[in-house]
Amino acid sequence: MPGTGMKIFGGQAARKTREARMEDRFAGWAGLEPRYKAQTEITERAGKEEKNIENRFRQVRSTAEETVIIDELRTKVSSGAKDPETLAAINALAKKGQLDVALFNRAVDNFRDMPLALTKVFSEWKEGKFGGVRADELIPILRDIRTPLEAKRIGYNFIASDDGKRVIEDRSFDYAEFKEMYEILGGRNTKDGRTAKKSAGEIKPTIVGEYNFKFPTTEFDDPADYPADIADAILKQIKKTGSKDFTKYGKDIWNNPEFKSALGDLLYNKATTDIGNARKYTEEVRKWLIRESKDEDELRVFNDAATMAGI
Amino acid sequence: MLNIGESKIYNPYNTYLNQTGDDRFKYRKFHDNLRGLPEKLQNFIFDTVPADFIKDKISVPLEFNEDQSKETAMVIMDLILSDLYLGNIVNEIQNRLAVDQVKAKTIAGLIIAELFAPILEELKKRHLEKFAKNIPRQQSQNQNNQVFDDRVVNLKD
Repeated sequence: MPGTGMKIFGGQAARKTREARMEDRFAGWAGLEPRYKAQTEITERAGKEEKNIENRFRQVRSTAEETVIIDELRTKVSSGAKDPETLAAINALAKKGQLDVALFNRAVDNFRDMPLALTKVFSEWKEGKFGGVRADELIPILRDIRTPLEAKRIGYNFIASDDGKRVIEDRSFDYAEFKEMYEILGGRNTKDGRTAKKSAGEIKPTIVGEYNFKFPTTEFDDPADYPADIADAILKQIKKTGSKDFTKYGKDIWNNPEFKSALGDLLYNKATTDIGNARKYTEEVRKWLIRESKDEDELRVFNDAATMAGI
Repeated sequence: MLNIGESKIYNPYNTYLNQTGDDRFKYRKFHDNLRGLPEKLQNFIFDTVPADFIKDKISVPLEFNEDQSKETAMVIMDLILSDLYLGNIVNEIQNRLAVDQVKAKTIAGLIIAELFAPILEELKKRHLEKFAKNIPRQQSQNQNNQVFDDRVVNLKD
């Protein structure tokens, strides 16, 4: 706002600060400490200590030496102290992809009133590709009410990336999880939201289809694009699926009745539009499913749909 | 070129699949065999060429009925899977398609010289590996000469 001296928007860093200050204010009202200033101090000191740890890692000459340092850091985190050294140890483990769920929970217990510190842990953890946690462990961490909003954004952006797709592939990543991820990342109006939707749609078209069906007004500009039902929403989702992309679908997708219906419609539409291209497409999908699919029922579902479509 | 609904008659994969019915064991064995094939043969099977060839070059010119067309597709799949020896192709076609020897030779010639041309070397290698030791030397030599040299199958017969 020119002339007022007020700065409303200031990028990601400013948003973090605003949110931290807001949380700080709430904490202050609730009689909790530490305040924002104390948090920044502890994270800055932890940053310096982390650099020392990184130097130690750089100087190791063998895996055994590295293991000694990692064990030392684990012990430090397990001790549960709430000081810069412990925060540095957590961050260093996260960056190395060595922070497991038990240690993370310990960290959350220690620093639960310090959202800035926890967000920093997530930044480092993302750099370490969230190594040390399984997909079904990361999801509850992101849903945890104690996890700061900015940390959630970091985690969900990771899930939407190529490195994080293992989380979407996991059975525990369902409609509710997608909704949470998409909305926290800003939905259709942000680049992060759109990337998350694209990534999820490539692996789980059923959940993205369900979302589009439930929220047509936010997801589509033209009412003509509103899905008639969930199967129609899934059909719109898989319309541009390349033949090899079918191998990305898990068992839960192939067993989904709405997906089966959408697949049947997809192949029927292709067959009635151009039977030659429909046959080529069908043979390509079969070839990839034969080569890469782990479950023979996937091909059975596909063949049933192709037969029904007359291909 | 196939129309809608004709794949179940001319497509070797589809006809083979239909023949397995609800037998899960047969279904699994069939797909395990397909998985075990070299990429070149998989690419050949999962293409539109074999079905179009069966319809346009064999079934329509020879006025085959639906069962004969399906059996032609089955013979082709049997050969690709090495469930049927190339050396026995003429006899198999004669018996399974219920045609005379002249027609059987014509069909065998078309399959080997034209349809299988891009994969013939691969097929020969696999068939020799699988069948050579089970066939008496003299017979094997005769059959190899008869079948593997496509000039021996007279397309004009």
